Amino acid sequence: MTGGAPLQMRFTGADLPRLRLRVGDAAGAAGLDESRREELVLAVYELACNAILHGGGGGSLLLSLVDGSVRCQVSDDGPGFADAEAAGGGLWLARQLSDGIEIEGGADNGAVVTLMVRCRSNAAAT
Amino acid sequence: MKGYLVRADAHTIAVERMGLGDHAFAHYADDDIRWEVPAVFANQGVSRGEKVIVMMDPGCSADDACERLAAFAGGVDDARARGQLVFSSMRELISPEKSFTARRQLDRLRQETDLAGQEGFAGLRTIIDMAWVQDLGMDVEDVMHREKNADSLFESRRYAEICAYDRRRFDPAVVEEMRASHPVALLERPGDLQAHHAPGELYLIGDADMATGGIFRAAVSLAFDAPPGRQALVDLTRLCFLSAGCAGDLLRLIGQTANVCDKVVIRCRPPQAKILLRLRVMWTGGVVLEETGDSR
Repeated sequence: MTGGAPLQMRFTGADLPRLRLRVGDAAGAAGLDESRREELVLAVYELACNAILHGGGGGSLLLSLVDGSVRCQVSDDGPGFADAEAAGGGLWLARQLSDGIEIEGGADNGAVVTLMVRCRSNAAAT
Repeated sequence: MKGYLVRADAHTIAVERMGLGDHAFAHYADDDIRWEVPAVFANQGVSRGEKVIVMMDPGCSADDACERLAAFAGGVDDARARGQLVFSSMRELISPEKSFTARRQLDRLRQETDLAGQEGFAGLRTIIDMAWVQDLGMDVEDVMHREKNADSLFESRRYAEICAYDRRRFDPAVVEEMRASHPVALLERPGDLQAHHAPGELYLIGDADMATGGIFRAAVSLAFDAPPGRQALVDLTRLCFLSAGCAGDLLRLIGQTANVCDKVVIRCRPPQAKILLRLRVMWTGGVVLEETGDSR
């Protein structure tokens, strides 16, 4: 995915194995090592589960390479986060496993969660 | 006969854990599901710089097969365009011979492996849908003999093969004999979870996630249902994916066994250990993590 097309897919619970495969592929193409790749797959999975459980049964994933980082955006049509700081364990884990996370939406406008994972060379330089 | 359970045992793994040198049995009984294992197998081969030859059901065209693989995994069309992913058939492989002999087939697969190396690929993977057995009018006993005597193909670790059996076409006894006699047996689908129990030991295989959480919890509970003795083993090394939820469930259920078991060893790979360590607040006394580099 180095400079390639972004990964874009809609998902429901039945798509989780395919989603993990696609995210792992994209992370490998972006140059993440195996350990970081597995962490990214887990973080995106946790966000996808949030969308499935609380966002109407599914959501959308947009994964791209931006300025030397993998950027994953998971969005859904659910009620959004009333209090992002008090959100569940999945979001907490995604935060732990990534280099940055942004949460948007709420008040019945759906949730958009974006996480960033720096690629190795970029991470080493910062 | 599509509904019967194909059991898991010590040589069962998920397709994601396959590598060069593996000779695997796969099975299906659904015309959509049948593409999932080949898609992951092909995808992983392509990403590792290996050549992949797909010998599908003779009733399926190359374009249809390509489309079905692409629906599950990415990069299929590009790999096909550059000759890394090839669609063929057993009939084509043994051509110009009209009838199958094990020697002819094994020789041709060795040639294809050598050719893949000459073309610059790291090895060769083939996916063989066993529908060719009926297509070429073969005696199943002859095919089973070939399947049990192909070890020399895999010794160089430059070749891997999946033999996919449609449970609607083959007698259950044949399917079970093939499952048991292949060095590796695959889960039916990527994303599946199966458990293998032995006295005092639990082996989990596949993906532990939201979809399989019920199976995961039932398997762990069953393992500790009968007092396993002073020490128990939970082996996660054949898991391809462990969600935080299932990791938490595992620690919670182990915590409930404190009165029947002095020590529980969780054998796992480093990424799984990381997840479990992040949940250390749930740890109870007697839990020991045993990290292994086992790639299965």
